[in-house]
Amino acid sequence: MCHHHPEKPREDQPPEMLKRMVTYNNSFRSNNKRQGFQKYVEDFDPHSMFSSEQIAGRDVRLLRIKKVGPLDLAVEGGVDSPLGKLVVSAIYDGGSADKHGGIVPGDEVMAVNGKILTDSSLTEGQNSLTRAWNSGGDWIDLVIAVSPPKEYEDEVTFF
Amino acid sequence: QLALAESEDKVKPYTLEEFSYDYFRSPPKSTLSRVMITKGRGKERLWCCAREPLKQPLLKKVLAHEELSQEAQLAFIDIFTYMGDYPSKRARSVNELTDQIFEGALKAEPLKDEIYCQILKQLTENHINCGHMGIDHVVYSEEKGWELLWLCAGLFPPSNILLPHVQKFLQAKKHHPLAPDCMQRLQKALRNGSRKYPPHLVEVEAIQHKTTQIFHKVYFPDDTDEAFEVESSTKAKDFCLNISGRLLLKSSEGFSLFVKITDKVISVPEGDFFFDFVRHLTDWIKKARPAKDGVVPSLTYQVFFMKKLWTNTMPGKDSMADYIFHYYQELPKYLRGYHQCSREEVFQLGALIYRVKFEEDKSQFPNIPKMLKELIPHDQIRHLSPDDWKRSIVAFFNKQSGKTREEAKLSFLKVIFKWPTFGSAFFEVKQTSDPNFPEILLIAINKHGVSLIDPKSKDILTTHPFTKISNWSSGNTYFHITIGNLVRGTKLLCETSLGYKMDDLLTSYISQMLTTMTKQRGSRGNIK
Repeated sequence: MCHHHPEKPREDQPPEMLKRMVTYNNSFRSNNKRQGFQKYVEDFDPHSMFSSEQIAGRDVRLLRIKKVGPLDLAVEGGVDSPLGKLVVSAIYDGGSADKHGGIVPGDEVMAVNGKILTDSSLTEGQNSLTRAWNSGGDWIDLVIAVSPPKEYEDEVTFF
Repeated sequence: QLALAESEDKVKPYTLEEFSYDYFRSPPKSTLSRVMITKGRGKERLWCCAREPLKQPLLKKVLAHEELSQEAQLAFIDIFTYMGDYPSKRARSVNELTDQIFEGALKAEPLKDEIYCQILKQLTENHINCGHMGIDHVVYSEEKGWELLWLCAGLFPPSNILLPHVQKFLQAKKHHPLAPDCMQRLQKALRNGSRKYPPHLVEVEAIQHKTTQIFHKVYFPDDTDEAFEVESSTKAKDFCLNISGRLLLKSSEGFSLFVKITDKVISVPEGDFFFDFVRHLTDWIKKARPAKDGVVPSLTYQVFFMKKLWTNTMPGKDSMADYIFHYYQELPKYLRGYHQCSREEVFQLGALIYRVKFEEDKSQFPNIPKMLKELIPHDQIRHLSPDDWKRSIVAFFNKQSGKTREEAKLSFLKVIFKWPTFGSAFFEVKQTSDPNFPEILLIAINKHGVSLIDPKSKDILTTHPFTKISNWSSGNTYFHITIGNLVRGTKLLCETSLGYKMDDLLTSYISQMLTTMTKQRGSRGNIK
C-alpha cells in the first residue's frame, strides 16, 4: 500500500548480510585462492590483541585491504559519543573497502595497522585511518567486530 | 496613443546605460586614448553585448573584492559559453554551466546584481555587436540569453537599486515571449526570497524546451498519482496547500511532502523551496555515490504526499483525508502486527478490509483463506486455521451489510483510533542500553511521545512524553535519546539505519508542540 516500500520478498537475509556472504564466498573462488587472497586473514587470533572483555563474545576479524585508489570508508561514533565506539557508517561504491568486501556499515572498527582504536574519539579514529592509508605499504590491516545480521525490519517505515 | 508608445519601445529598447554611469566600474584607462579610433563601434560601451570575455566585473561593488571579481569573470565566461558565443568542445551535463553561472551569486550577495547586469548586457544590442557571427547565431545567442534571464529571475531578485532597471528592460521587451513570465518570476522572487541552490535539472530542461510550466507527479497512499504545477519559487508549504486544495482536504496540517531517492524517504521541510530540497538531496547522494567509471548513478526520485504528524487526526472529521490517507497509511501498520488488539477486533477489521476491497460482492469469500495476509495481522494468522478465519470474517461481514467502501474505511479507522498506538510511525530497533528491556524493541513515535513496545506481546513497556525528552541524536547506524535531565536521566541507544527518520519525526513533533504552546500563550496574552 505504501509506495516507498520496496515490493520485494523480505523473508531472506537483509542486504548487508547478502553482501557479506557474496564477498565471503568469493574468497573461496579458485583463482583468488591461488593468489593467496582472502577477505579475512584466517590465522588471526583476536585474543592476541584484545582482552576477552573487549571482545565480549563478538566476531572479531582481521581484514587486509589493498591500497587501490581511495579507501572510501566513513566512520561515526567514537568513545565520547552515544555509540561509545567507532562504527563504519558508510562504504562508498567503488572504493578500496567496497572492492575488498567483508566490511559493512554497522561493523565496529577496533584497530588499524596494529593501533587499537577502541578508546579513540571520532577525530582520532579518522586521523588514524587516514594516516594508515597515506603512509607506506601496499595494504592496511583493519580489525573489525562484525555486526551480526539484523533480525529485525530495518528498511521500511510507514508514516 | 498606445500604438505609438509601443512603436517607440521598439525603436529604443531600454538599456543599462543610465544605471552604468553610477554603478558600473569605469572603463579601462586605455579607453580614453582610443576614443577617437573606436568611437561609434561601441567597444567600450560596457552595458552592451560584448564579444570577448570580461577582464573585470561590471559592478564597482564587485570590483572592490578580489575573490568576487574572479568569480564574476568566470561566470561571464560561462554565460558566454551558454549563449554559444564562446567555443567549448566538451560535452556538458544540462545544468553544469548554469550551476557555474549561479553558484557564486547564490553565496555572495553582490554577485546577484552582477549576474543580472551581465545577462542584460549580453541581451543588449546582441545583433549589432555579434553581427559578424551570422543571423542564425544571433537568434540562437539571444534566445539562450533569455533562458538565463528566466532562470535568474526564478532564483533571486536584483537589489532595490537595480530592480527598476530590470523591470524597465523587461517592459521594453514585452513582446518577447519570455518577458511577461520573467516579470512575474521577479515578483515571486521578491515575495518568497532567494533560493539556495542553482536551478534544478528539471528547470533548465523545461526552459530549453521552451516550456515555462513544470508539472510534477505526486504519489498518494491509495495508489493514485496526480500532476501538479511547480514553480521555481514554490515552497514545500505552498505545494502542500495546493495538493490539499485539489484533493478537497479540510486542512493540510500534519501533511508533508516526501522525496524518495535511492533507498531513502525524506520529508521536505515546510519552509524549503521544493527545487532547492531536491537539488540538495541529489547533490548529497551524488557525493555519497561517486560516478563509477564515469557513469553517474541514477538519481531519479519520486515525490509523495502523506500524513506525517497525527496530532489532531480524528476519523470522521475530514472524509477525504480518511479515504485517501488515513486508511491506507494505517492499514499496512496494522497488517504488520504493530498494534495490540483483541481477537474480536481482528475479525471485525478483517471484514471491514474485505469490504473496502470488494464492497457487497460475496463471490470472493472462498478466496479469503488465500488472502489472509491482506486481512489479518501477520503474526496472528497462524493462531487460527484459514477456514476458521474465513468463517468469522464472513460472520462479521454480514453484520455490516449495506456499508459502502468509504464507510468501511471510516469504521476501520474508528476501531483503531481507540488504541494508544494509533497514528504512529513504528521502528524495529536493537537497543543495547537497558538490560531490563528486550534487545529487539518496537518503537512508536506518535502524539503521545516515544513508546517502547515489546515486539512479541505488543505491550507498551513505557512512553516518554515529548516534554520529558531532553536530547536526541542520530547517525547512519544508530539513534539515541536522553530522557529527563542529564544527571538523573536515562538514555536509550538503538541500533538502526532509520535514525534520520526518527530524528526528523521527533524534531517535527516537538517543534509542532512548541508552536502550539507559543500560540496558546500568545492568545492568552491578547485577552488581557
